[in-house]
Amino acid sequence: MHKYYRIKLEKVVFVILISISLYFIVGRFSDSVKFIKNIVYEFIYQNLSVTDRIFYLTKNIFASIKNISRLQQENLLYKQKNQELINKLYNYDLLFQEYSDLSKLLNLKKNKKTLLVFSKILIREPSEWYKWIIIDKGFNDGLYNELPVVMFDKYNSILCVLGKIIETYKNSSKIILITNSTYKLPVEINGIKCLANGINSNLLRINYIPVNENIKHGDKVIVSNLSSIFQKGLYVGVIKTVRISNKTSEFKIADAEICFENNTICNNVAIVLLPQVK
Amino acid sequence: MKKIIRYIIFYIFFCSLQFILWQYTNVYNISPNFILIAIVYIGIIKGKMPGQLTGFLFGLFWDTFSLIDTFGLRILIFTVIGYFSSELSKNFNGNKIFTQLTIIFFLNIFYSLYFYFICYNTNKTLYFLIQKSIEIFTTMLICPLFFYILKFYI
Repeated sequence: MHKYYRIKLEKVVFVILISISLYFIVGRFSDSVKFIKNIVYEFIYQNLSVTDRIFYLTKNIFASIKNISRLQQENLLYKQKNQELINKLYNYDLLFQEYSDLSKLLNLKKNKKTLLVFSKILIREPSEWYKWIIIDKGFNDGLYNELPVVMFDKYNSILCVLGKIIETYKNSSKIILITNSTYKLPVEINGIKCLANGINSNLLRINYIPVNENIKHGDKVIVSNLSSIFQKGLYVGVIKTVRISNKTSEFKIADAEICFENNTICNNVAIVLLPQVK
Repeated sequence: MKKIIRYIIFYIFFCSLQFILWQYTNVYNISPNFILIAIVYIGIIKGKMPGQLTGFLFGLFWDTFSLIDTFGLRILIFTVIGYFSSELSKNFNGNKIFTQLTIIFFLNIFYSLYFYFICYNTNKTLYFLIQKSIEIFTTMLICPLFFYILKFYI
């Protein structure tokens, strides 16, 4: 009898759990489901960030022991350099004052200032490698949704496009990558404006390239001025293949290799471009 | 109380393994599905109720990190996997490595197909098949080790 009730209970719980998950799927854009998601996220994120810190500290301790003697010598060298820089900074202040005065006199427009927020990529799930990442900076650091995120391409020493913030939490933010299949980015190749969209791999599909344009392997892909999120000219990737979709089509299709993967996996640092408001 | 703490550590350990630690050793974006191993283990050893609850919780954890457009899909599939891993092992000896490997193999294929038909929206089918085959193989490869360790823990 007891076993019979246990089996019945298991089945009832199974049906309840399946119903809850179906409710989550159907109402995933509703406020109530988002609220539950955010609560669970904050709880899990705290635990995982602690684990990450422990892992990172353990890794650093071994590296620190190795570096102690080297650091002493470097410290002396940097002290000398520091003194030199202090002297230079004094000159810089004078120059800056002069520049400001001249700008005022000539009524020159000031450049927009952008603050770089360096953040560590904390979570990147291998099966969704090209879809999303989670960084360790959130609204406590002044971040908000729709901010552009870039990465440093260590081979070309330039900043390249990574994605944009779509969800912001207290101490973390979720970033949708440009390689995600739902992401569209207006780009430019040799001055030709076209549209790039992700295909959940390390390639971007570039659409709307006019047939008569000469686009070839190795051409650089940059952000066009049609983008409302990224600055014009930011590096996106390099053209790998170009083809015509069908004979009657007026456009060519190209595949471009993204450049943000050139950042080595262990130096996973994403940079959020935060516009400074006066 | 001791049991609850053990379970919490168990959940955090597998989530860390899947989301954090593996990114440092990731090769060609292929990684074993550690969470699937955990769910199947609980399903086989502890029964249907803990299996489906573990599946539900792991699915919830994974989906909260994932994007909103796929929210709920993993909760559903992991709950079903938790339930059926116990159902499948009922007629066999769950302690045998062969049984564990067979269940992991079939449920992994089920999981991959589910995501192929629902979420996978690119035309690189061959790439997907190769990647998933290697994933299934690596999951099967490390599964006996995890089952052995977990036997002493939970």
